[in-house]
Amino acid sequence: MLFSRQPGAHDKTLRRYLLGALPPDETERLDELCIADEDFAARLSAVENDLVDAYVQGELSGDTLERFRTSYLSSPQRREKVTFAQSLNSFASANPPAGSEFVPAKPGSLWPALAVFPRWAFAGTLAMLLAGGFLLVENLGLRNQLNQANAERLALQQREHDLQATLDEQHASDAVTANELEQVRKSLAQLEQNSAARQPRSALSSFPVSVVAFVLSPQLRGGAKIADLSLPGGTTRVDLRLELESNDFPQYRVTLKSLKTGQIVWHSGELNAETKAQDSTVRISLPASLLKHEAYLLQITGSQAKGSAEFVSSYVFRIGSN
Amino acid sequence: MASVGYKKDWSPTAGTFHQFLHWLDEGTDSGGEKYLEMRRRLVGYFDRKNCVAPDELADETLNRVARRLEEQGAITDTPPARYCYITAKFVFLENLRSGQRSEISFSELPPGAVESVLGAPAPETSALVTKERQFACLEDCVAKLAPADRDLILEYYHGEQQAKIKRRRGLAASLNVTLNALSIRACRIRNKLELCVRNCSNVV
Repeated sequence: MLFSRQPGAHDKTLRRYLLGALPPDETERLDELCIADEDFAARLSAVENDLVDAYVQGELSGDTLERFRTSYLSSPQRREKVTFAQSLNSFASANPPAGSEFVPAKPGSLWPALAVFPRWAFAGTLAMLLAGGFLLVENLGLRNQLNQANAERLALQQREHDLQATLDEQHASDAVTANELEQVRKSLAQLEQNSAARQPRSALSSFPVSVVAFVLSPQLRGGAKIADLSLPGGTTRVDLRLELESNDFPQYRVTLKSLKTGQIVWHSGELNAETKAQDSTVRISLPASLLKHEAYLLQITGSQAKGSAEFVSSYVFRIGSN
Repeated sequence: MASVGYKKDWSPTAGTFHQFLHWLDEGTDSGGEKYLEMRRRLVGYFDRKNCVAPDELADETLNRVARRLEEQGAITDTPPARYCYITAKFVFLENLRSGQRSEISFSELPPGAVESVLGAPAPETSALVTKERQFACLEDCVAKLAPADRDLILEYYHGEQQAKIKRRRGLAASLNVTLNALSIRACRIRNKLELCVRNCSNVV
């Protein structure tokens, strides 16, 4: 054996070889191994991928980075490897494996991902919305519509959450991401309003889908009685109509927070207020499975067209036993 | 791209190619995997030597070996991979003598030249189109992977830094393999994907 197969023992040497930093005799020895020794070739390939990934993720520095730029990137084939690494990392980030937990991106990873996945993801969202529209036209039944809408809503909420996290954590105003976030929020708002509009039909329907609706008034200064909401067994969705003291914003966002844990458990996309006579309300529709027997705080913020947001009002309620 | 200009008039017949694959497989049947892997190693070798046309030189090497195998009927004194290396070295030296050694390393360029090269990529829209195309190809290629390979590669590359390391440890434990074995397995899938994406991008 010409080279130890101890994993990791010679990775540094392999890196130097890949960066053209070894003396000629050592280089020639490794040239032979990289073709003639299967294990060595496999290890070298893995080290090369790690090196390229490290570059793509901004983890190289000093002499290694300099050599990577001046030596490794001098070849079109190797530059192609870098491009592929960018795509693969983006793809893996945008497609978490089934059953995996969501792992938010760390700062500094804005790089290539944003250049590619927003359009792709938006195309998926658009396709889902079109599919939803088709089902409505085909009149396949209210239950199918609601199931579809729920799936779309969940997908959009997840997408929105992901994009928001990306923007928040990277502290970057990437126009592409921001634009997609805006599109997803609009789609979500549209979906939520459609869902709320369907609510009376679903309540009258004979399908075993149970939607319960409540009207909540804003908390006044100094507090007010907490609204107790009872959800009958089998309730699948809870529609809430949130009264506004005045309708001063073109759009609103609603956040639901558990008072027990302080965690945000849900938030809406951009919503429009509905005004009848003098009364303005914002409607939201929550999956009943989200709500446990505890107290919650709903907060509404209003958004101006230019993007600034302002607190509007809050609502407190408790889910009681039936 | 410059043509290599070696014995391009010779190409293996189906029978010769079959014999060559069988010889490379050393008694097993890899279904052509060994051939692809050897070609990948050779391309990498010529590329690291800064040759202008590493793909062509790799093919030239494989052709020469296949031809020798056809002429001799068998090559038994040297293991196939080592024989390929020896041939590749000759091809490289011939290429060097013919003056077709390649692009020079960036380190050989005068100050400022690197930036002028790296800083002059294709127009932004073109780059974006290329990236989108590659991403679409990647989607297709990932979809073509065996489910177990697909799950492994997505799990392996998901997350960042510490989260990724933790995830990989968990994945290695769940597969009951070492981290090194896992990284090599992931690398093989990645190389397969990379080849698929490259072919797809050239076709689209």
